[in-house]
Amino acid sequence: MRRKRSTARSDNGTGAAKSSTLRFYGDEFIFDTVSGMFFRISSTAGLILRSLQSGTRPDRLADEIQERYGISRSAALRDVELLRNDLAGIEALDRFAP
Amino acid sequence: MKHKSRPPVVAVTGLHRGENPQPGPAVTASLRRRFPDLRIIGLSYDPLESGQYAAGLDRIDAAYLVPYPRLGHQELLKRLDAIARKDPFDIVIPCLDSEIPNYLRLQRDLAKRGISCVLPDAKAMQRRGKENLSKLCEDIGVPTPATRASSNLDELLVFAGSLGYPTYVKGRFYEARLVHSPLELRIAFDELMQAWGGPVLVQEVVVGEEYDVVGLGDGKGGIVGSCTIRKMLRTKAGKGFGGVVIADPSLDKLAQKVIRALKWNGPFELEFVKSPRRPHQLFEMNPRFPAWVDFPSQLGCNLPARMVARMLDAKPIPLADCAVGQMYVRHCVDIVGNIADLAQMASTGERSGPRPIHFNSR
Repeated sequence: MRRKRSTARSDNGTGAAKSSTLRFYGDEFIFDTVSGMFFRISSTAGLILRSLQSGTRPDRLADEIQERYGISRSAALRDVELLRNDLAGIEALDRFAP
Repeated sequence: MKHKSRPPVVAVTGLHRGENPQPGPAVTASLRRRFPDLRIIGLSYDPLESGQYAAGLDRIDAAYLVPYPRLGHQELLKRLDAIARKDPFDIVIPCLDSEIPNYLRLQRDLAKRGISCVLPDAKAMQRRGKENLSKLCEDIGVPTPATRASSNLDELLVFAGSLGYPTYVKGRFYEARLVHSPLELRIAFDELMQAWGGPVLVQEVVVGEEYDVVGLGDGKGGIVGSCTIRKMLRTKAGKGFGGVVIADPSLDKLAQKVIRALKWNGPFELEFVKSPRRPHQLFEMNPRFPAWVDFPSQLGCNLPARMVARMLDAKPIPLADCAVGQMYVRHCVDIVGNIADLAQMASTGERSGPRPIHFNSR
């Protein structure tokens, strides 16, 4: 079997960000290179996934959301938990779940 | 292959691009991408097969009617001899599952006539057959949906009862029906037996995403090149009308296992289904290029051209890796023909191909 190109590369000209197996196309579209699944997501979910992908500790996510959107900490914590619960039900993304 | 004084000619089958598109035009287009001046003739079963009328990259230079596969290899050989007398050809690429057994029987006869055909070993062909795939997968540790093949309806009814309904009922070569009751199973069994002969298969329904691997086996257990996609669009019949290139090492390993075990020679398509939290399960292996083979060709992984270059003893054509995230969507078009062409094909069994389209003209 021929080896596929490394998935940890940038997509020149497509606007996709670097990632291990998850590619971001703007803030609201992601593509998993292993499963081939793609998802339309909210910009908040995009921010959280980008942060997790780049190594942000889960307990720091609420701080980032709070800072970015100027919302209360409790609202930020709830958003993060809700999203991570959703991710747990999606095999292609469950590595980001608690 | 013997050196000929004239340029090589390739014959391709499976020319119809209807709701169940056949691979011939995709193979033709792939070959023309690499060998624009190659003479390609189409071997057709019906004057209305759409590929006879295509004038783009997938056009053929001439078309000939051939007998249906069920009429056997001797009838096919007679017809191929008649065609070769008029329009000599050097390579034949069968693109339909049902044709392969006849070509396997004719391989030596064709070789004597200087006609090459890349085919798997007969035993490998049998082992990957729908009725034997379950056993093959069990032997080599590749997951597969629970399947029973039989010409005995009662046996299949018992098996379906143990699986629970709905269940798939599949023909020996083609067609899959989803049945919801023993009565529907009986009806499907009768129709599929009549259409394709036995055995008929009953298969567990696995709901999930479908993945396809197209590749070329080297006959020694290796894979010369391949492309793996997730089907993004599926028709009611399960045909992939859209796909995206992926890179999944677990799927690559399964494909390697199958090809290594069979020492597969030539083109193949492996079809997998994956339910959430379960491994990929191999549900079909096709002994030919699939109808989407021109997609990887457009990405630089031209498997038909690579195969033909090998048959011509030419320098191997490099195969690029298919970039993850590249996708295709199948687009149906209306092509123009003339009733005179249909009349010629229907009455004489042969016709010349359409003139190539020049896109800068009217």
